[in-house]
Amino acid sequence: MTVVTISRGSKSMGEAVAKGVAESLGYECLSREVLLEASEQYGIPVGEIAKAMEDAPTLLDRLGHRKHKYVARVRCALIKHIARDNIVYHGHAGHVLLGNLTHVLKIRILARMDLRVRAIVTQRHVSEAEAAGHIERLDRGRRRWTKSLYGVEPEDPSLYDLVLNVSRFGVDDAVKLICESAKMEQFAITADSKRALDDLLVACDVKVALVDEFPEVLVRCRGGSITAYCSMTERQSRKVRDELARLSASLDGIESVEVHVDMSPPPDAV
Amino acid sequence: MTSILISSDDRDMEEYIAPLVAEALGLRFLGPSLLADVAREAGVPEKQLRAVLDGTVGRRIFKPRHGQLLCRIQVAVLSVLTEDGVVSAGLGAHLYVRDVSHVIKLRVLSDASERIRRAVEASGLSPKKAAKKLEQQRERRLLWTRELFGVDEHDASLYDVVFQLKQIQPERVIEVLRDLSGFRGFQPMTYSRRCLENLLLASQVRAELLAEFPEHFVRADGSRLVVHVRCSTRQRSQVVSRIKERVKQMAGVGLVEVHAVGSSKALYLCANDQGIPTAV
Repeated sequence: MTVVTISRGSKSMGEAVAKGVAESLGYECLSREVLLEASEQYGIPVGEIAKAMEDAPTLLDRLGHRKHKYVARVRCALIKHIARDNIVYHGHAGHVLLGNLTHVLKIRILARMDLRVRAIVTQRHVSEAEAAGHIERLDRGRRRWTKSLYGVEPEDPSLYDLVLNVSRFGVDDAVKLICESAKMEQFAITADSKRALDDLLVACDVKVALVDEFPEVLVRCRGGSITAYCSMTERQSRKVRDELARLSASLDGIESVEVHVDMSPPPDAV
Repeated sequence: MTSILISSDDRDMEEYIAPLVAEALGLRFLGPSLLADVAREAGVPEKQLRAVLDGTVGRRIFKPRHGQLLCRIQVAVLSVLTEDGVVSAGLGAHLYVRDVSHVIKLRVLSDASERIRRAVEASGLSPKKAAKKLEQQRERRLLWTRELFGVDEHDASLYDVVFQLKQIQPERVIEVLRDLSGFRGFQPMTYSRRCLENLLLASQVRAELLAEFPEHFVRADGSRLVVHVRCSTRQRSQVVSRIKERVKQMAGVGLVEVHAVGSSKALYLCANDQGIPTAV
């Protein structure tokens, strides 16, 4: 049950590569479908979720943590999906939403700017300058989105297992290279990575339950033990503890709960 | 035959993986040992060349002498690369070999925690201090590549493939390179060989001129050369004829065009417009 995430800029042929990989491996190809699932599961208009996943947070968003609330739900929907099926995900931020799972092969697809511009010119019948401006705006928006929510740049190659420049060898060859990498035993699901996935699923459920009232609380689950990390007053942290105790009764898979105040959270906390 | 340029954020990794690739694919390995020959020719210690390549020559890194040494290294590397079937690492070739379709550019990123562990072992520093030291080295090198070549070597778009060696093993890197070297786009063509020869001629000319004219750039197209040089209006005709006189004696040089530019900024913009890294 390997998962392949494909990150790409607009018109970088990433979608074609993702579809090719999914077809070749017999996996489900997923992108905006996750937004629809999140919308159905949590009763939020899909347009609002899509906007939250695409636009960088405004000042009002940051004050109200609106994006964190939607992203937590999208992440939860995505994790639930990968727990069921083999997937190739080429939607937003797969590499950060699933970052710490070892059976996730994280790919970044790059293409030369002139090829991307040409694709927009052909599709939209606009001038090259307009097309280049459009691509730059989209790239900038995604960069700001990832930076503001996760503190990383999507272009940073260290976030991925493999970065491929498709301008040099085309979609078919990229598909072949990715499929061969996905079959490597290092990316196969193991007992440990299955456990990590189950833990992540529980952590995501808890996060969704907490995020409206306590958007800044980060949650980690290890073998059913939930640890919440927060920077808040003693009174507020008691509230978090009470809420977690309540959740442990209603959610499956929680054995114990703990709240750590003013302690830096581990990288796998959600 | 395809050539491969390997670079990494970790020099140990770069120098470990490149000979393996060369051996597995039956290609010639071109590594830091080349610096000994260049050092002998230039009459400088090999250590100094290494420092120029790593950007560890001082706080204000760019000096004309460093530019000359770097240019000598480039000439030596490009001379070997024109023979095809070469795996090069540790010589900064990924920074100055551009737009040559039969050269595969590979970047390998090592596991950061593993690098810190090795640095702790080697230096006895605390993990926090070792991480800080590595970050400082990274920043210094970034400054160096930006200043000399106008590129950020951490930018993935400079490469054809970037591997993160956290879960992926070096053996897989070799397999991928084997596949890539069979792809049609990476086969040597008359045009791509000519691009490499143009780079070589341009760097040879630059090596010839640098001592006398520290601020210039050269573009070669076959035997035709275009040189842009910074000089004052008063010296213009003297400089132009001096450059023509020196360059015309060199092998492979036919027509020479020299353009005098009034300021360093104008020269830099001119080079940028033509997609030429400032040091080449």
